[in-house]
Amino acid sequence: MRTLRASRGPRRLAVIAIASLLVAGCTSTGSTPSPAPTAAPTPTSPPVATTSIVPTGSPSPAANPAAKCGTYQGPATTITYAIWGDTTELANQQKIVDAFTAKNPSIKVKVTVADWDTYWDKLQTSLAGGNAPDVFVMDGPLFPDYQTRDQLLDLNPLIARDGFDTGQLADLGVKDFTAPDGHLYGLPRDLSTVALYYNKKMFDQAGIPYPDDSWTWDKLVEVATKLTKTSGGATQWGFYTETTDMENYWSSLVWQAGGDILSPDKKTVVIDTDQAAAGLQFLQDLIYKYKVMAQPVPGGAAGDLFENGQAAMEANGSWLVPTHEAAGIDFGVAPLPRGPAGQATSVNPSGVVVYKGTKSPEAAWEFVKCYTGPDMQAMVASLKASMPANKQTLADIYATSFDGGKTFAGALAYAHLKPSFRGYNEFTTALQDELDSNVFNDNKLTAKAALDEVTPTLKGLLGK
Amino acid sequence: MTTLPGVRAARTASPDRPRSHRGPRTGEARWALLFLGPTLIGLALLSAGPILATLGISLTSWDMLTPPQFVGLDNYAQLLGDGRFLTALRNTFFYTAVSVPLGLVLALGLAMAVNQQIRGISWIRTMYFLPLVTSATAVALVWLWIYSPTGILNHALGVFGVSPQRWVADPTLAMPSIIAMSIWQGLPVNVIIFLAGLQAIPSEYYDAVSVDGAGRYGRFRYITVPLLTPSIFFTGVLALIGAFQVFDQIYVMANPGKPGGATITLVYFIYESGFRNFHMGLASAAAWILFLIVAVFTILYFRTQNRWVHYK
Amino acid sequence: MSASVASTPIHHAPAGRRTRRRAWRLLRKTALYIALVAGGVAMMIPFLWMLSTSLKTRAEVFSSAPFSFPTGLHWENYSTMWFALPDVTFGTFFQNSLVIASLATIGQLVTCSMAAYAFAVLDFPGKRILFALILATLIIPFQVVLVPNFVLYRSIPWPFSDSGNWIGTNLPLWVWAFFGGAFGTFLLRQFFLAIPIDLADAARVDGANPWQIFRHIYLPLARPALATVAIFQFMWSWNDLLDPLIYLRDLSSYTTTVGLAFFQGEYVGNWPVMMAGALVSLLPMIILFLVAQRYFVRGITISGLKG
Repeated sequence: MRTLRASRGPRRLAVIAIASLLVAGCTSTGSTPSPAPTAAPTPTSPPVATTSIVPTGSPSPAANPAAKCGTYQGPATTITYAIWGDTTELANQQKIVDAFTAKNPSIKVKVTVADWDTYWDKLQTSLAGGNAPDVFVMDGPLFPDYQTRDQLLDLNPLIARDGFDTGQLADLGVKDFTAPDGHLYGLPRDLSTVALYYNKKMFDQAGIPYPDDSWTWDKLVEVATKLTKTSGGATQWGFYTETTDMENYWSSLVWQAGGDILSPDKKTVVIDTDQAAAGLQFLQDLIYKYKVMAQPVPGGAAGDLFENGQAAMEANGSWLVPTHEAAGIDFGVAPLPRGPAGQATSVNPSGVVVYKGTKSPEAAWEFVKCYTGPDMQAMVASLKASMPANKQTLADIYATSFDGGKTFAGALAYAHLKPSFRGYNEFTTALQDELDSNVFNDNKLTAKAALDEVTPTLKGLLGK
Repeated sequence: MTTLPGVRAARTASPDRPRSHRGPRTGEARWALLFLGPTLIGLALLSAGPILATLGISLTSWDMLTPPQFVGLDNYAQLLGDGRFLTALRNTFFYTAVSVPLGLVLALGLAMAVNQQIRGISWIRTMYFLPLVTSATAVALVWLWIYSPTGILNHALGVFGVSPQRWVADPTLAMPSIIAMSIWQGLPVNVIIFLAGLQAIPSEYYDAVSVDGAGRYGRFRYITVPLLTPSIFFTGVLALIGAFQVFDQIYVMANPGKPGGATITLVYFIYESGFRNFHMGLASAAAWILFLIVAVFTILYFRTQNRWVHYK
Repeated sequence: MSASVASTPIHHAPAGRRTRRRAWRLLRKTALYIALVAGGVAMMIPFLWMLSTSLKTRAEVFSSAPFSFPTGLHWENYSTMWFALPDVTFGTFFQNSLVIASLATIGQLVTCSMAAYAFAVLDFPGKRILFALILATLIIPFQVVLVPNFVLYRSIPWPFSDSGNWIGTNLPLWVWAFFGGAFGTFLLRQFFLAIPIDLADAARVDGANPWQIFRHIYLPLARPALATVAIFQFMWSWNDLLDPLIYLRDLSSYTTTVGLAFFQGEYVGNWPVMMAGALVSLLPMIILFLVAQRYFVRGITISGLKG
C-alpha cells in the first residue's frame, strides 16, 4: 500500500539552512563580490579519499556569472530528465522546467516520470541499453551503486570552470554525492529529516504539554503511555512509526544510543554492538514491553495511524507534511526525543545526476546548475514535501513556511547521513528481513540476538 | 487450388496422429510454412534471440551497467546454496501445488454454474469477470483489509470462537492467504476458458445421452467432463506455468518492505536479484533453473495427455 | 445459445408429476439465481470498493472504514483525473491504449489462429518440436528478457523516431503480436483439435485447400476460442504497465496504465482520483466482454456434416 511507501521513497530533505546560518555567518550576510569573475577558484587541496576537493570557492555566487543560471552558449538541443513521483510532482517539475527554459531558451527539457519501483527498473534497463536520460534524479543511498559503475558524469571540471559555489548547498547533501576520489558526481536537490509529529488536539485533551527538545526516551514512554487508551473498541496509540526502513525511524535510535550501522569508512559492519542493539531494542520495547505502539502489519494495511487520527505522536520524515495537512490533522513538530548518547536524526538527500554517456553534457550541466540555484530551489521549497538543498532557500523560505519547518531544518545540525554504499539494496533487504520477522512484527528475538544472527550475512554482503 | 493427392483414410484427431497408411502428406509442409510463417519469424527474432541471450548472461556475472564477466556455472552453484533462493523455491512449489488444483476445480464448478440459459446470465457472467479487470492495487488493498488483524475475516471467525489470526503477517498463514487471494483473482480466466469449452459441446450429445436415461450426473460424467478435457488440459498447463511464475500478488502484498521468508517466490527472487541487487547473471541463472523445472513438469503433464484427454 | 446442463427430457410425464416437477425446477432456479448473484457480488467487492473510493475525498478515504458509503458524491474526482496533467488529458492516454491494445489483439488473432491450425490439422516434419519451442517461450519470466528485448528494439533502425530506433515509439508494444504468440496458439490449437476431423476430410475430398478449410470451416467453429483470445490479449495489452513505461518517452504517447501510475504517489496515493481513473479504464474491457459473450455460442453442430 502506497501509504507507507515513504519508507522506500526518496526523502526530500531540506534542513541545511539553519545549521549553516549559525555556523557560517559570513556566507549568508551580504558579502563583497570577489574580483575577477572569470578566475574560477581552483581546488587547492590534494585529492584525499575522505575529503572533498570540490571547490567551495567564492562566497557569493553572484560574483561568478558563469555560476548563474542562464549562461548556456551551446547549440539548441533537447535533453531528457527523469524523475520519480506522482502527478503533483510532475506538475511541479514541469514548472521548474518551464522556468529553466525561460532562462535558457535554446534548451528544451522532456520530463519523464515513473513511480519509485518502476523508476529504477526503467533506469537500469535504459542504462543497460545505452539509452538513458541525460539528467535524472538519484537517491542518496543508491548513489554509490551507480557512481562506482561509471554511469555518472564527473561534475568537478564543470563546477570549477563555472565557479559554481557548492557551499550554497547543504554540506551533508554535497558529501552524499561525493565519490571516494573526492569528486562530485551529482548535486543534491533536496533533503529530508526525521522528527516527532504530535497531535495537538490529543495533547490538549489530556492536558499534557507539547513535546520539546528536552524530551528523552523515558519521557517519550511516559507521555505515550498516558496517551494510549482503548475506548469502545477503538484504540488510540500514544506513538507510531514505521519499521520497514531504517530512516523512519530506527537508524536514529541506533545513533541516539551511541551505535552505528557501518563504520565511518564503510568497510565494517558495526550494527551488532551493544549500543546499536540498545537502539533497536527500544523500538521493540515500545511495541511489546511498553505497549504504546501498535504491532506493525505487513503490507501497511492499517495505514499511517497518526494520519488516521489513531496515534498521538509519530516519528517520521519531513516529506509527510503535505499529506498530514491534507488529512486535516492539527499537528506540531518537535525534535526527536534524545537517547542515552544524545540527539541524532537521519538525513537523506536526493540529487540530480548527469548520465555519463549524455550527448549534451553542457546542456545537462546547465540544468543541474539551475536546479540547485536559488530560484528553482524556491520552487522546490514551496511544495513543503521537500526541503531544498540550497541553504539560503531552506532558511528563508522553507523554515518559515509552516510551523514545523524550523524543526526539520534545524534537525540538520545533529543529523547523520542515511548509510550510502555499494550493495545497499541487498544489505538492507537481509537486515530488514531479520528485523521485521524477529524483532518488530513479532518479538521472537531480542534485538541483540537478531543482530548476532544476521551480522555474518551482512559482513559477507558488504561491498560486493 | 490443387487437389491433395489421394483420399486420406479417416484418422483420429489426436495431437500425435498416427501416420496413415499412405505416409505424410507432403504438400502440407508448404502450407504449414505459410501458416506458420509469422510465428517462425517471431520465434527466431523476438523469442530465440533474447532467450538465448539470457542463457548467455546466466554464465556471467553482470550488473547491467558494466561489461559482463564470464563465470561459467558459478551462478548455478551459488544458487543451490543460497538460502533465500531455496526458500523461494519451496514457497513456489507450495503455491503451485495448492493453487492449481484448487483453482481449476473451483473454476470448473463456477463455469458450469454460469453456463445456464437463464435471463440476465450475461450480466451475472460479467460480475464474475470483474476481478480480472479490477486494478491489482484495488484487489490487494481489499484483501489486505480483509486480512487485517481487525478485519472482517477475523470478525467472522470470532463468531465461531476462533481467535484472531495475523494472516499475511503470520509466517505459516501468509502463503495460504496469498493463495486464497490469487485463486479468487484467477478464477475469471479459467471460468472464461471453461465456458468457451462448455459452449462448444453440441447439445445433441446431451440429448443423445438423455434418451439413454442418463441423469444430470451421468451427463456430467460421460459428456461434459470428457469433452471438456482439452480445455481442462489447457488451463492446467497455463495454470501450472503461471503458478510457478507468480510475482504480482507477492509484489503488491509485500509492499512496503520486501517479502520475507514466508512469501518470497522464484520470480520475485529473480526480479530482486536482477533489478535491485545488480546481479543480473544470478537472476538469469535462477530463471533458467525455473525454466528447467517448469519444462520438466510440463513435459510430464503432456505425457499424461493421452491417458485422459479426449479430442473428439 | 447454449443448452443448459439440465436439458428437458424428451418424453412427457403425467400431469401431476409435471406440475410438481415445474415447481421443483422453479425453486431450484431461484436458488440458483440467488447463489449466482451472491457469488457475483462477492466477486465484485473490490470493484465496489473502487467505486465508493472514487467518490470520496482524500481525507475521507483514511478516516472512514473501507466499505462505508461516501458522504457526498464527489464526481469532481473524475474531472480531476481527466485533466490532471499539463498538456494532455486522460482521453489521450485512453486513445493510445485503445490503439495499442487493438493492434495487438488483431495481430494475435490472425497469427495465432494460423499457427494453431497448422499445428492441429496440418502434417509436417518437426511439428512437435516446434510446438514445444513455442510453449517454452511461456516459461521464461519476462524480467530476464527485459534487457535483451530492450537492446533488440534499440538496434532496429527507424528513421521516423527521435532516437533513430524503436525506443520512444509504441512499436515494441504491438508489432510482436503479428509474429505469433504462445498463449493464443496453444488455446486455439486445443480448440481446433476438438473439431471433428471429418469436416476437414470431407472438404478436402471436395477439393478444398488448407487455406479454404481454415477460413470456411475452422475459423467459424472456433468463435468462442477466438473471442477468448481477443479478450485476454486486449486485457493484457491494456493493463500492461512496465512495457509502456520502458519504451514510451513522450507524455502524449503514454497509455492509461502509465497515466494511472502517476496518481499512485510515492508517499500517499491520491486514492479517489486513482480509483476514478482505474474505473474509467476498465470500461472498455467490460464492454468488450459483454460484446464477446455473444460469441460464446456453440459452434455449428455436427449435424451440418451429414450429407
